[in-house]
Amino acid sequence: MSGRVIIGIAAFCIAGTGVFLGNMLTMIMIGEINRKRQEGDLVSYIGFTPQKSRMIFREYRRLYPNGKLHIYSYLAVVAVVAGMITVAVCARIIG
Amino acid sequence: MVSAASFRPLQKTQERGTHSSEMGKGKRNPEKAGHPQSATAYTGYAWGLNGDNSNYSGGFSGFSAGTNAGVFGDRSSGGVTSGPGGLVPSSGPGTVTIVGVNVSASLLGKFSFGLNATNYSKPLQLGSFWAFTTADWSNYLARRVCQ
Repeated sequence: MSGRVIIGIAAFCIAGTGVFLGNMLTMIMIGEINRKRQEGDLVSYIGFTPQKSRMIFREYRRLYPNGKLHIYSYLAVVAVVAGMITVAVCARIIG
Repeated sequence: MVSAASFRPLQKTQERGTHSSEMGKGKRNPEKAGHPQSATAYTGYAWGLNGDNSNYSGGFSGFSAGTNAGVFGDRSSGGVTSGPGGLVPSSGPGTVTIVGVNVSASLLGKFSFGLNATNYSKPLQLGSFWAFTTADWSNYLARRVCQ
């Protein structure tokens, strides 16, 4: 097995981990936001649009100024995108 | 959520040798009609197209990654009908490479990534300039002036 294949598999695993953690962090942030909201004004756990994602981040940062989940979520995005670009380079899809 | 992507063929022509031409904006929905779980609008650039875009057809292998905003890329390959070996992207003359960005909405989870393989049909020829955007006109006119 060549080094290119090994690096590609490792990058794919990193991207997969980033997807799993990113989605989990998003759910945790929604849960934290809902803890501070009244019944009937809760954020849904299903359905994600760019506007809703921005709202979740904005609300989380407003309600939890010292929270770190949104930072971890950014790191997950970096892991997913960088991992899959690495996979694409290793698979000769790009580059 | 792992997404499987399918892109429709480019439907406008590009001059041979042009290195950046807007691929087109559209929406793709890889899920079964009537039960959508995600929808994506995307735009990007294609390299290696011939004069009539006819090589933007057949097999392609690609990737996608991101959240509600992400990146994707595709390259000519044997597609899904050539066995496992056909999934390896091609190289050399006639190879089309596509990269771009997308914005998506999804039902379950906003993070997604995926590897995909697809077979495009032949592009429908609708003329040279029907879908030119401002960026396309700028690139086209700049190329004309420089020639």
